[in-house]
Amino acid sequence: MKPFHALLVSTLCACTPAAPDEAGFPAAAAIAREVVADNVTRAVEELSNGHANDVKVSCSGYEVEDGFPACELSRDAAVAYVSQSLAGFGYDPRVVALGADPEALNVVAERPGTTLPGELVVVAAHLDAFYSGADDDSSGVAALLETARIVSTRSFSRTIRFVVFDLEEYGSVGSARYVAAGLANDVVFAIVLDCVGFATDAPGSQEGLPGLSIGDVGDFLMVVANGDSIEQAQRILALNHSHGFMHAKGIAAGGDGWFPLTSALTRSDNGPLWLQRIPSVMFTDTADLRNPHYHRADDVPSSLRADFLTGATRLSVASVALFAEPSP
Amino acid sequence: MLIPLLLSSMLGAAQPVTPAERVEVSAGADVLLSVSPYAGATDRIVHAAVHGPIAGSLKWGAGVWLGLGPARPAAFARLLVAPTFGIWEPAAGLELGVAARDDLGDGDKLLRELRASSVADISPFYVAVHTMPLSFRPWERFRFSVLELQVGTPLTPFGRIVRFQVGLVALGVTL
Repeated sequence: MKPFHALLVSTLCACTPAAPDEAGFPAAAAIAREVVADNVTRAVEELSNGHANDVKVSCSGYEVEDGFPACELSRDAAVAYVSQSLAGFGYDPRVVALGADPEALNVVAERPGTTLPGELVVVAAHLDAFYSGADDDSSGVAALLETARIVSTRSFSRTIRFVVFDLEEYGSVGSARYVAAGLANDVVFAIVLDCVGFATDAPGSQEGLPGLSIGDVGDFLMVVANGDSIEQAQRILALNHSHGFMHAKGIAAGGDGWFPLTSALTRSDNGPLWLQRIPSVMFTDTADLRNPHYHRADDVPSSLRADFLTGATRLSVASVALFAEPSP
Repeated sequence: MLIPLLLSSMLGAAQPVTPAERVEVSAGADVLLSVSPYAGATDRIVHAAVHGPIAGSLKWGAGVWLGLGPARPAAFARLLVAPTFGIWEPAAGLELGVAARDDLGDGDKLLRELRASSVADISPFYVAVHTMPLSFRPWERFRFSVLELQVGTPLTPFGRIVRFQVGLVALGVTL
């Protein structure tokens, strides 16, 4: 099993669970092999082009500090692209508009489960982005769309819901409102894809978290968990290790993960899910701890690494299949 | 600090009654720093307390404090180990209390909704470790203490907010 760092603050967590149950690994891995790399890279390019030419979201009140590009956020073209793509795969996507100032436009679609339709496995990413937003988070949206394409051709015991959140960059606004509205109550497990396309083999390219080294080279995908999702994270890492999708590591905060010293781990759409004690993990390339283009105009498709993005997408597909359980 | 104080408490149990083992009332001024994952706030507070002996150097305590920014009252009870070394009377122990919800403010619009969600279910009950390392009794009836230190958290969700309280000065008089 790959290393699993445990970050314990204030509470104890079960950091040495029993060996993960490997049932379902071969079937999940077989489905993951259906990922087509060109689909993912093309989606990143089209989403990024859309952002670059899109109108900007009203940023009033969000210009809080130098260097935070609050007024460079866009989402309309991505809402249209995601909706169109999901419809093309045979889904019936809905734009779930929540709140105001600004309104969050979350795009939601689902594949009903065959035997456990009331249990939802969620795959999430966020469609809002600064500048072109290739890594953050067109990469996550592209991986989600490829996952949705593959899922659309198969049946699973549990319902698989794709939620592309809006306004993550303003503080997980879309996901916070979605959870607050009770729309995530039936979720049994969620995978949040946020920045899954940037990697480098350069020594010294990876920064750690305060008090915790996560390695020196930014060539791995991080699976971020809390005490509620540590077992699922262990299974995902074991699945990845047994089938070699990519280099991945895990990190977990104890309890619900919401402590002052672990706030960095809650800074995506997994944060509101963790607050509701919904087991959730985030897949990430660690964003600003690695990517020099983070929240900059040069966060463009050419800065991403296709093999890394494809590996992350395969792990996403395999994980969804593992927890939703393929139907015969 | 607790373990040596507890040992001292056991050793001191057979010594004669001292002024420190009588009921004492005190008052003081403190600074409170509250930290949550996405917010922090400081507050000036004043407190009034009464402490009394249990056995040996074990003491009970109870009191109230009041925030001077937004008025946020709290009431607390303490169990302290408080041995005597001449005029030096250090103490340490646990405090349980009930306080108005920590006011971390609305803050910037960025992260506001997430911040609000994260403190929506904070319990008013808290637990804290309270220490009085620089407590002295230069005169028989009077005691003063500076730089009391307290670290606490709401009972639920445990650790979501961490509260650091620094007692600037407290004056006590034995009844």
